[in-house]
Amino acid sequence: MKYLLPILLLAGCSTFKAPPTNIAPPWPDVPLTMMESCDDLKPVDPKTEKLSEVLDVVTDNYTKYYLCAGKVSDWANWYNTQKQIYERAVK
Amino acid sequence: MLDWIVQNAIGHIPIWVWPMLAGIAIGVHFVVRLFSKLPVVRPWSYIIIPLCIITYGGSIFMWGGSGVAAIWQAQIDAQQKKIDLAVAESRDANNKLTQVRKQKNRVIVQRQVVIHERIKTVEKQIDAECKVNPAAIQILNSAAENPEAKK
Repeated sequence: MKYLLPILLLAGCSTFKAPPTNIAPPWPDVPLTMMESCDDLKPVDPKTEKLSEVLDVVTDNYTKYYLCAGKVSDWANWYNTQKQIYERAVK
Repeated sequence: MLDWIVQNAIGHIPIWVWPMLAGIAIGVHFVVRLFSKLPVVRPWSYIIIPLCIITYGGSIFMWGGSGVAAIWQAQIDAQQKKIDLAVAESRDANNKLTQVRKQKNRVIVQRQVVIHERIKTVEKQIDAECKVNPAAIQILNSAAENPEAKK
């Protein structure tokens, strides 16, 4: 009986509130370069008859495409990398 | 209110204070019990002994609470370390991604410049051999337009 009091008192300690242990890292910001939207394609001057000018515009548009495709690929890459880091931290 | 006081007491008072307080309470209790037959001590013993029991009980309670809080604090610290590491890793990944993209974009733009130079070298020849029909340009420009972008 005389041991009951300390046991009850120690059991009472378990009523102490648990602090929030499920702390998660903040979801990171996206690099600013990825937030820029893709450029519109450049039209050819309708008055021109020169094939070289058409080629120039087509080349510029291909470049715009590759720059834009890079951004899209970066988004997927960025998301997968950040997700892995985040999940590792909250596991 | 009591909860707040207990949580704050645990957070600010070192853990060793509680067993020490419990030990003192037990010690005083026994000493007072030992000399309680003395007329000088007897009246005081009625106050001191219950106080010692309350102090002992309270100290044990708080000691246990501090132990539990210390375990939780260790868990929080471990989690905080993981979070700090994740934040640093995330920042590094972002920096690396930005650097790699800059390098790749540089290569793409350099290639554009090279192609323009190649066009220049044969410009006169291809312009002399071929005249583009305006209808073809109109079709090409229509294909380059995004009808959804206008909405």
